[in-house]
Amino acid sequence: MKAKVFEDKVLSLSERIFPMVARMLGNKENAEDAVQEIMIKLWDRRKKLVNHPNITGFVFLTARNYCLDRLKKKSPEIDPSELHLKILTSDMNHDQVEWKELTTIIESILKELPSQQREVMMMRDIDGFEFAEIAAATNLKLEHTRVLLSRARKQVGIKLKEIYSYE
Amino acid sequence: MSSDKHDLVNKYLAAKTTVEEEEALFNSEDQPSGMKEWSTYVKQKRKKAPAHLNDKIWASIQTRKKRRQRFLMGLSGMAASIAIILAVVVARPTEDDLNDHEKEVLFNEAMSMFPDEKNIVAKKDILYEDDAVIIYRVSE
Repeated sequence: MKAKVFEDKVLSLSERIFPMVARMLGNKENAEDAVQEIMIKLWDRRKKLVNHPNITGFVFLTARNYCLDRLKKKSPEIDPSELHLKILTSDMNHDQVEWKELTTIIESILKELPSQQREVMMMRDIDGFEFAEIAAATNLKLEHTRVLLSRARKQVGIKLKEIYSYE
Repeated sequence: MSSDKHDLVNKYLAAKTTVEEEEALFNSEDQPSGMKEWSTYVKQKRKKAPAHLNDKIWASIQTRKKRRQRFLMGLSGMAASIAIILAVVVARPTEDDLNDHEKEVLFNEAMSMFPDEKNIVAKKDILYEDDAVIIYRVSE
């Protein structure tokens, strides 16, 4: 694969994979270095990439596998901005208290979801991935990702409605 | 909530919306309970890539590429130097490795090929002799 083709077809996806990498690693600061490392790995494998039938999918899959490997080696790091919020707990204003409460509730709901449903929902709603990208990154069939996403959304919706419809 | 919005929410729950439709839904003011909270969470949790990320990564790949090329050049230079040194060592003319004793033995062996030399000298009748030349006659 020539440098220009790599730049157009692979490197251009750096910004697309960044949200997922930052979310999975839990630290925006390190995510930039991580995306760089992922791209360097792909650059080293560029000769094999030329004949790959789905280069975009391979990039997403490589990025996810890289994050999973990193997470196996050590626990995700806390985003300094979130840490700052935790330190200032006693000084939090009303919005911050609400936000903290909402985060705690939603994260506990997400934890109850089956892992595939949770991951697909995060990739779609938080990372803004297309279905094809999710399918490639998770090695699932496209229709299956839709089914998983639908179940997850409905489950989260029901739980949130239960909690917030009384307010 | 309008019926259009209601349909969109149902479409969203069935995972049949596009990314753009979902974006519009998350940013909408008029949302049902549950959806509103999820939208707030989504918008807060989203992480945007830093500006010029692609350019930074491309620059670092290029730097790495140049560094590797320099390393390979250095390595091949070093290999060439070693090859030249080895060639010089291997092709060096061999030294005469006979010591004095061995030379003497060989000389004596050569001399032994002329067994009558002493007799010849004893029997010789010198006709002329100077520093450079001896002319003699031998009677057999």
